[in-house]
Amino acid sequence: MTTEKEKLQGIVKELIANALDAGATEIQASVKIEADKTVITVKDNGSGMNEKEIKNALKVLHQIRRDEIEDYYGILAGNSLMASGLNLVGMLVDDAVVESGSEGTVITVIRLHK
Amino acid sequence: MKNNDRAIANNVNEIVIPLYLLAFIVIGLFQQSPKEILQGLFEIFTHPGMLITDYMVIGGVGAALINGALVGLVGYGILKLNKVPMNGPSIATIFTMVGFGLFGKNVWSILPVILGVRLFCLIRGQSFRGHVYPALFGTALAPMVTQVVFGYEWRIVTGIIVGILSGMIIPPLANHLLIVHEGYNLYNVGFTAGFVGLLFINIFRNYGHDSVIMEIWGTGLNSILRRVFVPMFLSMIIFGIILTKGKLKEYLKVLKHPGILISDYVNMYGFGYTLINMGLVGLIGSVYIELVGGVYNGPTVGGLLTMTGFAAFGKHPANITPIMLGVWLGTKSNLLPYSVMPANAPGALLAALFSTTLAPLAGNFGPIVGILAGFVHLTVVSNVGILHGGLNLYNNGFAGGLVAMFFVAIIKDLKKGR
Repeated sequence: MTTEKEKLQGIVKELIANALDAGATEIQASVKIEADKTVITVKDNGSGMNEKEIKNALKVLHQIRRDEIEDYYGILAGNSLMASGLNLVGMLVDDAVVESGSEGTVITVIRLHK
Repeated sequence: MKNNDRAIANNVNEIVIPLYLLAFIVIGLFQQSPKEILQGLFEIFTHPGMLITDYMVIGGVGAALINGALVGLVGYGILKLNKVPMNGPSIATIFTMVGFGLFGKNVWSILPVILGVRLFCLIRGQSFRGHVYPALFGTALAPMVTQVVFGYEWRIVTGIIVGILSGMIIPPLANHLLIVHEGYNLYNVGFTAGFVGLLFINIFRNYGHDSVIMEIWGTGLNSILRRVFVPMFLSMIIFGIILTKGKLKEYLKVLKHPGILISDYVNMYGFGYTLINMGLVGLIGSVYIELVGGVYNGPTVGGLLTMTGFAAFGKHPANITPIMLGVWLGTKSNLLPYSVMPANAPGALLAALFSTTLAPLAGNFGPIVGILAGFVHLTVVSNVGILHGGLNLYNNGFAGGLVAMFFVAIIKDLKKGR
């Protein structure tokens, strides 16, 4: 079983891999664990996203959370040769916000505690 | 906020999948008389069912189709009881269960393994819903139950206990082994079940109980089965075209997807495009059987159904064909010297169909890597069955995990070198 700690680690690793792929030289990650939810924010100074890329990112991040698969497949988040990107993250979180311009991106994801 | 996805909103998939299961029962009822079907089911239920046991030979085509559908319906019922939507992984699970219900699983021998996973969840205080896929795919170990009861002729209760114990190992091992191939082997529980089978057969062997690798292989069924399954695959394509209102350009997106775990095509592209993909993948499998002069029987149709199911969960024509080509090149195809295995031999034919478990390698790293992986897969799968003694029905999943492990490790190292 993939533990809650492993799932959170996986989400952070995937978001950081995403920032590195964008050529970021400075990455700030914050994980805030609250009573009812965990909020993860990763901010980078990478190449940023255009509108189409933001739309695509939100499309995968806004998938329905798949709690029937996260205990089994969730271990793959952050543990894949070709980072599965935001696809797995989308299955593990309940909400996401992407802010990006010509330089830098901020991705915030929220995972509710069930 | 999240838009609760189209897969949930679109309930067509919830209706269509069980309809295909019911169709198998109806078709099965027309193949034999009711008395023959009952007798055939009895034969299937009381056979060791080790790899490779063609239930179409043991019980007849009708009884085998009905057994397959019943096995699939058990899976469907368990998914519904646990409120799991009929998305990509669910479709892959059900079609795989039906497929192996034609050669090795039966409606009672799968239950102890599922119960084992349920018990694991109870003991560990975990939700069964989170382990429902390992539980259903884990029925690859059904021969563990039937071999103990009808092969070794121990008591039924012993077979059930062995099945439960094997099921209890599946969840932690399946989770752990995903990391070994990093999602490049779609049949991860097959990889897992290979190790569980290896463990149990070695215990049995230590106490003087070996197993025999069987080859009960039906022939002469081509015309009947071709008439059932080719139209079934075509119906998926037609129904998919209707659902997508003929907007086929969107389907190209499916073909560009690498297919690595987790690729839920129902969730990503909608059920219509998934159905088209399922039909096309099934047809590619059928064309391969025809081209190499192979046969349609329980195991090969099981292969076609597994391919079709996983076309909702990672496979598509562009990522399976290089793998199948690689397998074919490894057979006695007259293109390479020293090949000894004819392409239509049982092992080689099943390898070509089930090797598509490695589709993500071709999808992510290109067709050359895919061809190489298929070629290597044939050699590995031909020699690993002895390790689990036929107790694991997903022998290609076991071999696929080993092959993917090698490829991922080498590619990873090459990437680090850059």
